[in-house]
This record gives sequence, C-alpha cells and structure tokens, in this order.
Amino acid sequence: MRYGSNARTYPMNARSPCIQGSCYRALAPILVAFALWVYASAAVSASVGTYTEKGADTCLDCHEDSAVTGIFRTAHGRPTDAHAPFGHGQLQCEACHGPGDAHANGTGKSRPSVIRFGKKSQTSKEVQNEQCLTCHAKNAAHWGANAHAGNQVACGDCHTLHQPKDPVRDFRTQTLVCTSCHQARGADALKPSHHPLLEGKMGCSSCHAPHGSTAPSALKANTVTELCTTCHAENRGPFLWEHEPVAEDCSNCHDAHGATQPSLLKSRPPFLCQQCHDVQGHPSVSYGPDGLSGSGGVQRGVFLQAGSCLNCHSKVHGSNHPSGSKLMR
Amino acid sequence: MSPRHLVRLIIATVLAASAAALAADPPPVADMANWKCELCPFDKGYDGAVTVGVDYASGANASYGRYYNGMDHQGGYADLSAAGDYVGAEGRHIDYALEDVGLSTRRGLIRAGTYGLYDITLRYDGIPVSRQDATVTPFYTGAIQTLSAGWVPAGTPAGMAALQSNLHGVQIGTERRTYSIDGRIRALDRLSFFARFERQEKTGSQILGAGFLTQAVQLAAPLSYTTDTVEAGVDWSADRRSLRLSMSDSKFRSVDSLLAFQDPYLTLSGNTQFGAVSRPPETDARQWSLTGTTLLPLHSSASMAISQSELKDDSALLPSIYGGTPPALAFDGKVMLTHLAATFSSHPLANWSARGRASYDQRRDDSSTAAWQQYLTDQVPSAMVENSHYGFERTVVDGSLDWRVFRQLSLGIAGDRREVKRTDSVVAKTADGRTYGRARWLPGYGLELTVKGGAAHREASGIDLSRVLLGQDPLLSIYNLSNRDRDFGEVDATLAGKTLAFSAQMSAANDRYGRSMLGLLSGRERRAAGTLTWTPSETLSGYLDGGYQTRTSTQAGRYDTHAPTWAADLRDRYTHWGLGGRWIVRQWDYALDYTHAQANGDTAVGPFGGLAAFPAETTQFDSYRFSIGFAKSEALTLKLRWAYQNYSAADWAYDGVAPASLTNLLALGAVAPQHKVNVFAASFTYRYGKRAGGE
Repeated sequence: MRYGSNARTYPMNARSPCIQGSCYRALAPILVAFALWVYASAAVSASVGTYTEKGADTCLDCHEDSAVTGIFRTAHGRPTDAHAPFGHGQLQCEACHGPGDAHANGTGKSRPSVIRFGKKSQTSKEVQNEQCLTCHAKNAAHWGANAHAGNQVACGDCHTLHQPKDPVRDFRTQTLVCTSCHQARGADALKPSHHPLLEGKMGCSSCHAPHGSTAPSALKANTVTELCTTCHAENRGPFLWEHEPVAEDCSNCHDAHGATQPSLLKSRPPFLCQQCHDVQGHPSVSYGPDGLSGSGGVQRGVFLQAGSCLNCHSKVHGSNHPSGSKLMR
Repeated sequence: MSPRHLVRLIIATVLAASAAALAADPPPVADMANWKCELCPFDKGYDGAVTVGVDYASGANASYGRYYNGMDHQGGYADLSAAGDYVGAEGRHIDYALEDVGLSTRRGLIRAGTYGLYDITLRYDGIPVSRQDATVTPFYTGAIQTLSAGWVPAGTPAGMAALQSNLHGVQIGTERRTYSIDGRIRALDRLSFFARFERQEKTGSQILGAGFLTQAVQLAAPLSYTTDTVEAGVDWSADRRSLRLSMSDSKFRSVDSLLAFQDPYLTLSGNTQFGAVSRPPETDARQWSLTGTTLLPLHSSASMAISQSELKDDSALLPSIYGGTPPALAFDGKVMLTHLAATFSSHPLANWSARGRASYDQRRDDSSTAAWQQYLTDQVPSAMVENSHYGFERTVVDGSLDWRVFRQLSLGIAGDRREVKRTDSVVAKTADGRTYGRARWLPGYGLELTVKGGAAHREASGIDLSRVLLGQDPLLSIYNLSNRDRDFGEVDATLAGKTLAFSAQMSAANDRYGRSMLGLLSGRERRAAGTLTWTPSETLSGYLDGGYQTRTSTQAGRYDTHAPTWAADLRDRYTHWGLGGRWIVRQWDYALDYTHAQANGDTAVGPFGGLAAFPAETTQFDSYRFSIGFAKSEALTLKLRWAYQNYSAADWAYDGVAPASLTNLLALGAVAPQHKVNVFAASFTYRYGKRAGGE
C-alpha cells in the first residue's frame, strides 16, 4: 500500500481491519461527540451572571462580621496594591467570588450562591481553583501536574483567606492544617526522633512545595539529597571517600517524617548497615543479644551498642581524610 | 475513511473544541461607576502586643531539651514576646514579631515595604537541640583531645587505671541560628526581582566515634559550622505564562578540618599515639535554575524546569597520619548536578483529567582520582585504595488519568517508572515500575471515601562483579539495589458533618526482595490514623485522634559461606492517641490537651529456627497541657499554663553502657532519654494601638 506523495511504504499490517477505513469511520462520531461535549461544558461554565451595582459595598451591607472583614488585614485587601482584588480597578469581592448580582438581589431559598471556598463549599473544586489561578498561576507553576490537583484539593481546603493570619502560612499551625488530611504524617511528627514540626520551627513547606514542583513528592529542591543538604550542608560533599547511598538519596537510611529510632534512622544499627554490607569479617557476623554488655556471652559491644557500626565508621556520610576509605577517619 | 481524512478530522475537532472553549468564555463586564468601597474597613494605623511572663521548668534536662524547646535544665525562664504592625496611607507597612526572647528558641522578624511594590524581611531563628547531659569523658577538649598526664593506657577501658578519676561531665547538643534578609521588588507590571541572603550557624558538640583497628573511643567532638547562601532571581509573568530565573551560591565552612585525639589504649609501638578524624569539608555549591509554565487551551497547562549545580571542595588535603604531610595539596572535588523536568496536565472536559511528569537528574562526579595510601591506627601502612566516583542518571516518568464517572464517583489509574543508571556501582541499573488504581466515592452527607491500590516491581541489572567489595557476597540483596516486588493499598475516609468531622487513613504495603537469600528478604508495613473533631460553635471545640503503625522486616546474613547462616526479625510498633479541646466562655479561655505516644521495637537474631530476642526497645511519651486565659479587658489578657511531660525509654544500645562497660569501646556513657517535667507559666499580654476603621 502506498501512502502520501513520498510514496513510502506505510507500515501497517495488511490484515488489519483498518485497511478498509472501518475503524476511522468508527472514530468519527466519537470525535464529533468530543467536540460537542467540550462546547457544552464551556457553554455551561460561561453562564456566570452579572456583577453587582456597587461592588464590595453591596456585599458588606450584609456581610459585615469580622469573619469576612478580616480580608482587609490580608494581602488581598490592600487598596494600594494594584494587583490585589481591592486594588484600583479590580473586582473587589467579586474578583474571587464571581459576579454576585443574582445573589445580592435574590431572596429566600431561590437565592443563588456565589462561588464559595473551603472544605464545606458546594462550589466545585475546579471552579474554586480556577478563580485563584486566574491571578496565582505564576505562584503555582507546577500546580496542574501536582498530586494535590490530582486528588481534587481546592486552594480553600488549605488556605483561610479572610483570616488576618492564614494558619497554613505560619509554621506553628501549618502542620496541623496539612496533617488534617495527611494523618500518618501527623503521627510521624510525634515519634521519638522527628524534625521540629509540631514545635513550630519547621513546616511541611520547609521541604515540600504544596503547589507542585518538578521533583518527586513535590520537593522544594530537585532531589532528596539536595533538599536535605540545604540545612545539613556538612553532609553534601563532594567527599574524597563517598558512601554511595548517601550520594544518591538520604532516604535510603533516614525517614525524614519521623522515626522510632534515633537520628531518624529507618532501622537500628547494626542491622540497618547489614542490609547492604556482609563483607567477610565483622560486617557478616550475627549480632545476637548474647553480645550485649553484661549478657555473659562473647561481648560484641563495639559492634552492637552505643553507636554500633558508627563507633568506628563515624564518617558514614563521607570522609575527606586520605586514609578514610573505610569511613573511619 | 483514509488516514489523511482522519488527520483532518482530528485537526478540525481540536480547532472546533478550542474555538468553542474560547468563544464560550466571554467574561461579563462590570459597570464600576458606583463602586466606591465606602464600607470597606481598609487596614490603617498601628497596633501591637507585648507579652511578659515567667516559666518555671521543674525537672528539665537534656532529654526534655531534645524537643527543641530551649529548656534543658531546671529553673526559671523569661517569657517575653512582642509583635506589632503599622500600615500607612500609601500602603507602606512595617511589622515585627519577637517571640520567646528569653529562650534559645527565640525568633524574630521585621518586615517593611509598600504593598504591591516591594518588601524587605529580616529574620532570626534559633533551634536548640540538647542530646545528653550525663555524658562523661576522660578527654580534655582543645584543638587536640588529650588525656591527663598520668593516663595509664590499657587493652580495655576497664583496665585503664586513671579512667574513673579523670572522668568529667560534658554536654552533647547543638544550637542552630539562622539569620536572613530577603527582599522582593516589582520593577514593572510583569517583572519582579528577588534576593535573599541567609547565614546558618551550628555550634555545639556531637558524639563522634573513632576506631583504632579493633578498639574505639567516643569523643565529644566540638563543632562550629556556618553556611552562607545568596540567592537572586527574576520572575516574569504574563496572563497565561510565567518564568523564573534564579541563581544561588552557598558556602559551607567548618572551624576545624580535623579532630585529633590521644589513643587511650595500649598502642602497637608502646608509645603515646594520636589519631585524627576528619571534620566535614569546606564546600561551595552553586546553582542556576530556570522554571516556566504556560496555560494552554482546553484547561491544560505545561511547565518545565532546568537546573545546573556544581559542588566543589578546594580545601587543603589532610595528612594521611596525624602529624604527617598531606599526600597532595588538594583533593579537587567537583560534582555536577543536572535537573531537567517537564510536567503536563489537562482536563479538557469536566469529567476527564490527565497529568504527567518527566524528569532527568544526573550526578556526575568529576573529582580527581588517585590511589591513596591507607593506614591502620594512624601508624601501619596498609593497602593503596583508589577513590570511586559515584554518579547516576535518574529518569522518572509518571502519569495519571482520572475519570469522573458521575458526580459521586471518580476512577483513576496512574503509574510511574523510575530508572537509575549508576557509575562505579555494583549494580549498573535499577528500574522501578509502579501502577495503581484509585476510586473516589462521594455519596453525599459529607462522606468521602478514597481507595487506592497497586503493585510495583524493581529490577536490578548489570551487576559488576569487579566492583563487589572483597569478601562481600555478590548475591546480597542490597536495600536500594536489589530486585523488589511491592504491593500496597490505602483507604482514606472523611465524614464532615455540621458539628462532627471524622478523617481516617489506613495503608498496607508488602515488600519482597527476590533473587537472593542474603540481605533484606522482606518488609511489611501496616498503619492507620484518624481524627474526630467536634465543633458545636465558634467558642467550643474538641478532638480525639489516634493511630497505629507496625513495621516488620526480615533479613539474613552469613559468616563465611554463600548460604545464609543467620536471620534477624525486626519489628517496630508505634501507637499514639490524644484528646483535647478549647472552650471560650465570656472572658475566659480554657484549653486542654493530652497526648500519648508509645513505640516498641522487637529484635530477634540467630541461626534459622533459633532466633534469640533482644530486650525490647521501648519509648513512652505522655504530655498534658492545660491553660486558662482571662481577658480582663480588650487590652489586657492574663494567662496561666501548666504542662507535664513524662518520657521514658529503654534501649539496649545505650542501657548499661558506661565508659568502662565494654571491652573495646571507651564510651561517653550516653543514656536513652528520660524525663519528667512540670512547666508552670504565667504571663500577661498587653495590646495597644488603634486601627482607623478597624475591628
């Protein structure tokens, strides 16, 4: 079969039913339906109503309580910022809540709602987020492909915009906001070894970009190691003698969200080390409880207790000592 | 229909759909002639608050100070905080917050600028971490850790005759102080510049092990690090696209490059011997990065990131033995890191959405290579060893497709593939593939249920036998470099009522490491966590939460054959629960919290079929907090607080390990954390200032 002006051979199985064009014909109505569906959904989203006559004054006539007027103590309520909703020429309340004329002039149960935000809102998450992204697309460059977007999380599920201090933007309260969904992470923060999250010295956003990033798990840095060494720069190297899993990913040994073992370790030494090392000699030895101090067995203290392997191999993150190939110097 | 017709039809369809979407999106126009905003209570003026009080921590020690609270000894602490802000007519503003001024956890912030135009922020934050305060050492800290003149070396710590008389206390812990200044200015309508300088200082001491062949000592090693980071960049944004270009430079410096110490053991030569352990090297890190995003028709978007980093170590090389000459001037360490990534998302229809991400990371080690003379116990030359250059290329592709079948039900499938190619590694390549499905059900009544489940497989290939360490079994299942099969599942449930809300998460995962009977064989995790909240009014709320987690793993080892001769079963269980509430009634504000967390670690090791159990590792944490606030007036609030924390731990790694307990380790006598602390606090807060038109 010949295809196109170049008369190249079209690489299609001659026995395919498509050779007669039947499958293309079957696709045609699907594509047409697709176009109509898009048109219909776009048309629906376009029916958004008209704006109020007096803008925010219309809204504040009824919504005068501090839960609403708190917005004027936030970045959104600054009249001098031309880019803020209350900046000159901006749409004030309706910049976010959408045209509200029908809501303002409606009565009783037939009164249509404006766009509302938050977990209890009846407005679809997509519509809520679109309102925010109209201005904040640049703050959320990777939002679309982010797991939060994929799990239909709305901006208002985390942000409380009418409150002078949005809890999710304060380390002291941010962890509580995040762990209201990420419950397991909240439990991790209570483990004996943990980063200072509940103590308010760090927040989830110290490491993660909740609006998305191009790194795995929405990390703020390109890789786990790059992120950890932002604060733990002493371990970033380059080292003359590297420990391979350290160079590759700190999470090979550490559980950053919290651990029952000291130093956020995933398991206890020497067994953690023995998951990778069994060179004949002491790394391959079975360290049983008879090796503990005072147990009466052959004492293995230097290999088992106190720092275990780290009693000697203390430069486990890497060494620049010329005689440090075993990470002991 | 010919293929040409098909192409035409597709193009026509996409154009029609795009046109439809664009044409059907005419924004309504507001007639703003009467928009005066006369009722808007715009923020103007100043206000502030000062808190003065005293805290008394009874029973506080390093174990309690481990919780980043700055209270590492019994006694009184000043409770001082202040905050305020001012907003001027043209949007000029300044605000400040000084917290915990009387504690080493203190932090401060001063921010000034003009809303929408520029702002500058200065920050300070202190993070103290106490580790040990009952540790003892015979070493005297200086540039070199030395022993007393009358030191009597011996083959074991118990035989060191002068040990007990020379032991003196030494504290282990660090304090991190972070200073930063950052600013942002909007130069043009679409352009803004930002810059940041940050200094992190970390000082204190840490436990550092140092080995002399078969004997070792634990040192209380002083540390003093600084990391200076400068970052600057520019943001450009238009209606549908944005771009950010940034550069950063970070310098890590350590006061000491080496910690030398005197050997307390009998030396091979019979003379006093010194050894030295390297301290973290001084390194520079530079990075530039470019990220961008664009919104596309049909509710689609794409973004990308490009980043290049360089890590360098130009510092002078250390001597191979204490007091010797460095074998070279410098090591010339250089590592290049590259990151390329792109994301795409689209939900052209309300019911369908697709997401994808692809990234490529490369770590290339361009450091110099040489064979370096190794020494045993800083005295006896042993082998010449060449340093390796670990590097990798990591490619990750992931994607998901979600379909909202109807308003109450969504279905999705997702998958990812992660391929790592390594240089100088035993395993040249690992490839991880994962697929999972998820379903979300929203039947109404505030209930939302999400079920997710899938499987993953990791395949290791290209095992380079020449890189297997001498004496290591090439079949050993190395944790991150071996074949692995994983299946996993997760259930999330939320129920949001008018006053009651419940949220829970349950997950399970099973790992099987194949191909070998040595190393890690299997892993398993089960966990559940949930919270019930009750909010009958704005002034009354309560919560009850709890969780459970268990992690088990099995591994095997061998002495001198290629067959496993011993096994280890490790199990960690962790449970927690808590309850609390807050009640505000007239001028009174009551708050109560209780938290309980408990961890149990079981270890059993021995020949197959004859595992012997270690003493259980346990930690138990109980925390009670109660506070009463009384608002005497709008300006003055009094607050009384009481907190009790009880932490106990048993850990065979530390318990009973005094300096002379072990035959071949001169230990510091570190202990597992224990504390029972009562904290009583009383403070008053005075608010001042007035906002024109404020609340």
